[in-house]
Amino acid sequence: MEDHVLIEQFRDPQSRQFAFNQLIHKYQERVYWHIRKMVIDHDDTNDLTQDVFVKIYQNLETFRADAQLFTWIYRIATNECLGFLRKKKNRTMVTWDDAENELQHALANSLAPDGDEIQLKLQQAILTLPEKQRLVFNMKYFDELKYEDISSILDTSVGALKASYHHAVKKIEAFINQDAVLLTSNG
Amino acid sequence: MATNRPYIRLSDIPKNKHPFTVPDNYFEQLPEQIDARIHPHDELDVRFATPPESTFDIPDGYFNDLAANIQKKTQALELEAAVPTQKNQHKLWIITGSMAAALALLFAFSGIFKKNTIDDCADPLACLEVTEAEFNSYIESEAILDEELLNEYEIIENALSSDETIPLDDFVEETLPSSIVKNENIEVESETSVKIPSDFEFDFELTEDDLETFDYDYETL
Repeated sequence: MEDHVLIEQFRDPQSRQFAFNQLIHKYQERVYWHIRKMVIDHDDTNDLTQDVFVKIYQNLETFRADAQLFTWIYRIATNECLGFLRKKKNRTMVTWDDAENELQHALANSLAPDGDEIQLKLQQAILTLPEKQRLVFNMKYFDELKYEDISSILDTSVGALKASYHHAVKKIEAFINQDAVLLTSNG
Repeated sequence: MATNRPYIRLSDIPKNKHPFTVPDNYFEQLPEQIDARIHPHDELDVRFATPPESTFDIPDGYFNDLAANIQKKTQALELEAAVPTQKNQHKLWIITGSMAAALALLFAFSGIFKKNTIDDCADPLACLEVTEAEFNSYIESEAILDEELLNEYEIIENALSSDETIPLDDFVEETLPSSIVKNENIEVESETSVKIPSDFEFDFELTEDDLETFDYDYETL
């Protein structure tokens, strides 16, 4: 079902529940994985995903049609992620390094058991990126969004996003190859 | 001993969009969990939908007869609204009386307005009637002046009787205009005098001696 049809049906009280149910089925996995790659832990991701859809339900009636629905949903999910990570750091009074270690620990428990070593390295490398750069990398590399869409989600220019993504790739490749050199030299 | 390994690029790594594990059937259950978050009151609605047990005693079969009793009352109310009762007739009389009183007041105000119009001489015929009435009143109140005038003519007659005798009645009829006799068309000059028309002429002549004898003032005539 097209987004504009979903929105029209949502604005009609008679079809609101049906339209919202369709919207959840359409976007739940994209929202979940977008959050999961940021907070890593499934339970945290589950809570945040539900929060995101509750906010969508509360605000969809006032959604303006001049923006794309999925970028609007991504924006809500992104803000929820950043808010959650900020609160988590403030609540535990830990340094960024401690927080990264916590994410690394969660990563070890979250990866698929059949995942190969290079996938683990990739996720470890991504966790070394600053939050916003990590967002850019995830949306561009995994979700394959256009720079224009990422620009509307993060309120950042396309040029800055390209530069950020380019730097992120370099850091990740450096991390993977450095670790590979260390592993090889140790081996 | 370090070995030469190829530099690994991101493009060399197989892309796995969903690298993390997810509980079984998680996405099938997620919509229901979200709906429960959005509508947490549904459970309460079901709970309150169940009628609670009453703590008060009610007559046996009360609810069986309640509907019929309510229907009777509603029918009675409809009948009262449709047929005019004694109370309604009383209201009708009050309304009719009020309307009659209002009409009477309207006519009374209309009469006052008409009287004011006459007083203001807006109607010429009414003004003439008022003038005539005022003149009649004036003639009655000034009868003494008429008698004085007649006495004066009598004096003149007596003075002239030595030469010619003129009956008083004939003299009055001949010399005084009929308008004076009939109290018509007399121009009122003031409250204390009546002006004789200018075309009035005596049929006799007075000598200067007569005028001196009687000290008669022509200018007053």
